[in-house]
Amino acid sequence: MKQKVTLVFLSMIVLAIFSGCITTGSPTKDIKVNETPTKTYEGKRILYIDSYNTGYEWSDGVTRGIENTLNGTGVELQIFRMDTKRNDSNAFAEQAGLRAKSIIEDFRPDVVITSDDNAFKYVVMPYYKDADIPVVFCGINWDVSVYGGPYKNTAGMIEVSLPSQLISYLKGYSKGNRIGYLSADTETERKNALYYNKLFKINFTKIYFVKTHEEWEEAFLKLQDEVDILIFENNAGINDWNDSQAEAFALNNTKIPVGTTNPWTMQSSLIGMTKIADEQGEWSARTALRILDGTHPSDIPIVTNKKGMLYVNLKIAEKLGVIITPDLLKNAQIIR
Amino acid sequence: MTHKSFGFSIGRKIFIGFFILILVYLGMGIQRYSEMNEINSLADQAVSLNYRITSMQELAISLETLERDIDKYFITNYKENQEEVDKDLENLKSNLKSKEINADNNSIARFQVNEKILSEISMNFDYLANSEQNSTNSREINEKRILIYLLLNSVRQKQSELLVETNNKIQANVVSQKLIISRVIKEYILVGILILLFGVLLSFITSISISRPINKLTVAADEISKGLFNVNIPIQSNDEVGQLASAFNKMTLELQKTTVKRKLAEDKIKSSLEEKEVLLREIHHRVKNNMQIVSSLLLLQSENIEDKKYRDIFIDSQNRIQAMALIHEKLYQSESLAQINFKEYIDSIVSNISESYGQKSNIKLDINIENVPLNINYAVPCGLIINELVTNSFKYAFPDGRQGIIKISAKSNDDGMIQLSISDDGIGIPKDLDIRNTNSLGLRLIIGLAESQLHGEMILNRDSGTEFQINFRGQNDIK
Repeated sequence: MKQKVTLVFLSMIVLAIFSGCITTGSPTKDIKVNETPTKTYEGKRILYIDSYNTGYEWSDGVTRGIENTLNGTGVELQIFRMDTKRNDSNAFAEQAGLRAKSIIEDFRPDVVITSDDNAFKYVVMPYYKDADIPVVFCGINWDVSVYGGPYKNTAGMIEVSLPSQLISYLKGYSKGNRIGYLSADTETERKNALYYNKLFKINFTKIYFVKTHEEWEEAFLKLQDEVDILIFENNAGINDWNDSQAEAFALNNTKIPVGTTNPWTMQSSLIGMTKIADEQGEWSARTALRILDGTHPSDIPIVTNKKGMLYVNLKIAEKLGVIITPDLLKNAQIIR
Repeated sequence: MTHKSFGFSIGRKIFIGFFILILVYLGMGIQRYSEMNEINSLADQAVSLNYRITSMQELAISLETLERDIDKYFITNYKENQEEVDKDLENLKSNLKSKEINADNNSIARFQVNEKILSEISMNFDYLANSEQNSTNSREINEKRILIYLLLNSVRQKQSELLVETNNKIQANVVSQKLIISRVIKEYILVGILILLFGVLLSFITSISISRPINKLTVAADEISKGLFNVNIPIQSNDEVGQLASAFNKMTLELQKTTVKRKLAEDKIKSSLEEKEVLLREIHHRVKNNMQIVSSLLLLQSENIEDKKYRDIFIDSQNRIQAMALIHEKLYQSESLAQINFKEYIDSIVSNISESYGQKSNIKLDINIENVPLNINYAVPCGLIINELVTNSFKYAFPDGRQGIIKISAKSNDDGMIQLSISDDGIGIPKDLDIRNTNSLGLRLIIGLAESQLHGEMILNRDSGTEFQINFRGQNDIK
């Protein structure tokens, strides 16, 4: 009889456990909450060295990308602006490089992010080539090998433009094939013109590098007659640049389709096929975090920017009397 | 441990148990019915939502066609392309109208908004077609084109919102169905467990109601089989097992009474038997004593007889009586009054004869008696036969101090036949002596005893000395 009683109680215990297992299996287990675990990098430091200055749209975009990506990670971010766009002398850049070095020594960052050529040229190349401190660069135009890079301690994103596609669009509204190039007189823009020819086999009929707004207007006006298509590359570096004046001047004097690779020069252009500065900043910050996670910079391949924006300026189109094609109208940001 | 019983029969208990189980299942069935209705309703809703998705997919395809045809017209400015666009717009509008028939209010509202937008597209497109042919300025054309694309996007957006909304409803529908199914499964499992527990409980109660009393009955039956009747099964249930236990207890009581009566009768019989045994022993003793007196009288008488011939007659008679007396002596001395130790009996007879004839040293005795069971009816004739033949051997077989041996043997075989043999290697009986036609009292006595008393067969062998062999069946009662 004792055996029977034991058997009955054992059965009940097994059943209770069984039923407990079933009832604990709530249907809510199927509802997966997509939570991304927020990894903290408390105590880690990143120094961002910007070649240029706040207020320069490109620099602001890169900074925004870095800050957005690092937001909430616990990383301590410090930013140093070299301001070499407004001060384009080598001596100023060298002094800015020394200041950056001093900041690195004081701040002792775990990773350094640099944007654009000058930060790499005047800080990384002279002081941190193959050093222990990891460096993530971005915004270096076309090729880092001109600075002997990449180094063992660097990873980065190269900044490239797509002038061929831009010219292809512009040709739809031009009367000939002569192409002109107009930009601020900076090392970067000269490099751009060189690489357009080198990489994309674009033969510019006329090239103008200008230092002042007046020079720009003069060159802009000349080019309307000298070429059939104009690439207005960048105004950064023209210290007395005036946006509204430039816009009005372009509206009054444009005769040929003008294209640009920067959004801030769209007011003077018909079509813009631009890079996105934020992409450079976001990628750099993500790469810096990968390095903090333990990936060595040399294991990260050098990449180029992948995102872009298309712009159409309807006022310039009206001035030119062109009707924009459906693909541009549907895909481009419209500037009125 | 006593069991507190329910006042129902076993059959009724099982019936109530199953009735409760059926009630639980019935309750579950009713509950499931409403849940099934709910699921059916949700399934109908899912079908309707699915129809809406299909409609929206058709509309999306129509919108793509429209946009492609608009693109074609904007690129080519061909009149044919313009007509295609007009046709697409009309198709879309009528399509939206037809979808309104089976749609819910929310969808109808959205369809109507889209119809309005499509009308706006149509209006702008017509304006644009006329303007372009009239070479209106590029700004207006570009703006109108952008507007048309924006309106198209707006329609697409509305459709997309409706699609998202429908998808959400489908997801909610699926979640609801899953929840109901999950609830039903859980309830089934829970009720299944409850039924199982109830079943286990029912089995336990049934086990207590049936197995335990039956085990007690089995133990009690074992005890009764060992003769222990003072067992009582403490079962208080009113069911069939309780009745069986009650009948068992009653039977035990009756058995107890019967056993007591039988024991008393046995004791009485045993006492009577012992009394009769004592009496029988006494009779045997007295018979033996009387025979002993007769034997002694014959001995005393024989001592006064000069003539050896007559004296021997007395001695023979004395020996015969002695042989019979010995039987009675052995009987009252033996444990069993029915049987005697045949070997001891024969030894005693032969010893008496030997003493009677003065312990002749020239004659040796070889007695080989197996343990032959013989009752008094066989033992007396056998003893008398041996007495006669051994006496003859002593008297006649070894004259003049002749050396010799007298052999006496008795053995029984498997079929119950007993072979008694008395022989000697003496001079043998005369060849011409016919033992069946002789005046010798001894030989006539032997034949009479062997054939009439033992119902056996007597064989005389005269080849070497003399051998009398008597074969008889030991079990036969001799009257």
